[in-house]
Amino acid sequence: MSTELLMKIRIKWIIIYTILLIVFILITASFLIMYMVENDANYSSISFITMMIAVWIAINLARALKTKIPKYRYIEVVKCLSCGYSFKKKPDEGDYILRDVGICPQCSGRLIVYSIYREKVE
Amino acid sequence: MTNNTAFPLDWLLWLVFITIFFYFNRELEIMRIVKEIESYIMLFKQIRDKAVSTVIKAFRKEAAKEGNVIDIKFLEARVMDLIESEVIEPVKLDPYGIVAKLKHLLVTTDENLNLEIKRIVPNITTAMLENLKNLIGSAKVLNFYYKALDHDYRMGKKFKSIWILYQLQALLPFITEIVRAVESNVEAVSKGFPIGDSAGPLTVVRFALKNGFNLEPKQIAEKTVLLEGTYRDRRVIIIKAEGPGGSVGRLDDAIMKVFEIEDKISAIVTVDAALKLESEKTGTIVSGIGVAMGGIGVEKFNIEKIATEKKIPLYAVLIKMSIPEAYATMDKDISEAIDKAIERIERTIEEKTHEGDTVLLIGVGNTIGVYP
Ligand SMILES: [Zn+2]
Repeated sequence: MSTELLMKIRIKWIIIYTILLIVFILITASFLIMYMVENDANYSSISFITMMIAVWIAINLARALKTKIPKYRYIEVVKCLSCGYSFKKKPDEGDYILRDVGICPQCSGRLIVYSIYREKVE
Repeated sequence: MTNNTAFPLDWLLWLVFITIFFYFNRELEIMRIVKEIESYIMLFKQIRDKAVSTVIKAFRKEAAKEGNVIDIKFLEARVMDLIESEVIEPVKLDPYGIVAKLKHLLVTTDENLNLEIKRIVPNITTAMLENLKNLIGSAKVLNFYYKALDHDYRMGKKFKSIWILYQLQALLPFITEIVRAVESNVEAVSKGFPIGDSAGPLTVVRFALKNGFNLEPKQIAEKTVLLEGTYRDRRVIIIKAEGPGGSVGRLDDAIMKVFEIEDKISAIVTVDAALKLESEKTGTIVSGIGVAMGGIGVEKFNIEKIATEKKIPLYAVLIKMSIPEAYATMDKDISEAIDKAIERIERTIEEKTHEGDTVLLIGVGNTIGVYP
């Protein structure tokens, strides 16, 4: 659903931030070199400003990389009414709680859907 | 340190510079807010459109089951009509009897929607009909939020009011949370699995299962069923919406019917999902006094009324969750809390009633994915 759209926006920003970061690191480096060559204080203060901008971009990039879009996995617990035998599986389409889903392999009692839930995938 | 001259600009120039700087800063700020709101409007629109197409897909799937092919243009127009349709609130100037009026409106709305859907897919099953109604309801909410946000944004831009835009921006996180929650509801309902709000019905069904109740449901009111059994020598009558379709039932009608047959009820216990605060853990079980029930309040009013008339104590068991969790497919934490909720119900029945008593246990909430 909208997670795909957010993903797209996120990727766009990550690309923009990465390019900007590289550009500003290069600018900072070139000003630093010019400072070292010409020994002009103006170059060092400009390189300080561009470095601050680069740090700010890096923080934003880290933030964009950190935001995670949660993913879920669906789990269904099937249980035997007679002996309590149970197992987990992926729910089928149209499954609901208390639906008959067959015969117990252990005691041939009734198997029912006991619970359906979703779990975050790490 | 060479070349370290004093600032060549004099004070006046500085002042001009700072004024311009602040002005542009403000303009930039407005631009940033406008861009942010626009991106949210785009997001909401996308979510709305997706929900509408999910509704249309569901209709087509149902029609295909009946061997019909519906013209997509016709279907789109019909679905948009349903989504755009409005319920007009009754006049509240004289509030006497307003609950009955509201109830009448709710019932009419519901039956009208049934008719409209059956006109498109005549042989639809009850469960699918309820799910379709749920989907349409969610699409309606999403449509409303998209349009309302868009309206406020346009007004803010029209009157060039930064304050309207500021307000909108401040509200955006809250609106977005609700919109994302309803969006996940569309996904959950189209799957047909239990949602967080199904915790109430699920708890009473699992209580019945655990204590060997007869699980053959008796229809007691429109879309509402009754289960019966005994727990520790108390007769327990369970009322819940009819599943596994996404219905909330007509619990007040059902209780009225029960009182027609059964006169001696010692306690009414309602089980429902309740809104948690940020600091609370999902799936916390809380006891309460009163009727645990959300919605407009019509059913709650009716149940409180009859309980007050007959002087029956009202007990509640609440399962805490957030709004997004209530709308989405049931989370693991809530699913695990069901057993604790059952224990709380058992404790409540044991402590508050005596052997030989009759207890009314009501599973409140949307029963999607939960039979019977
Ligand atoms: Zn078995």
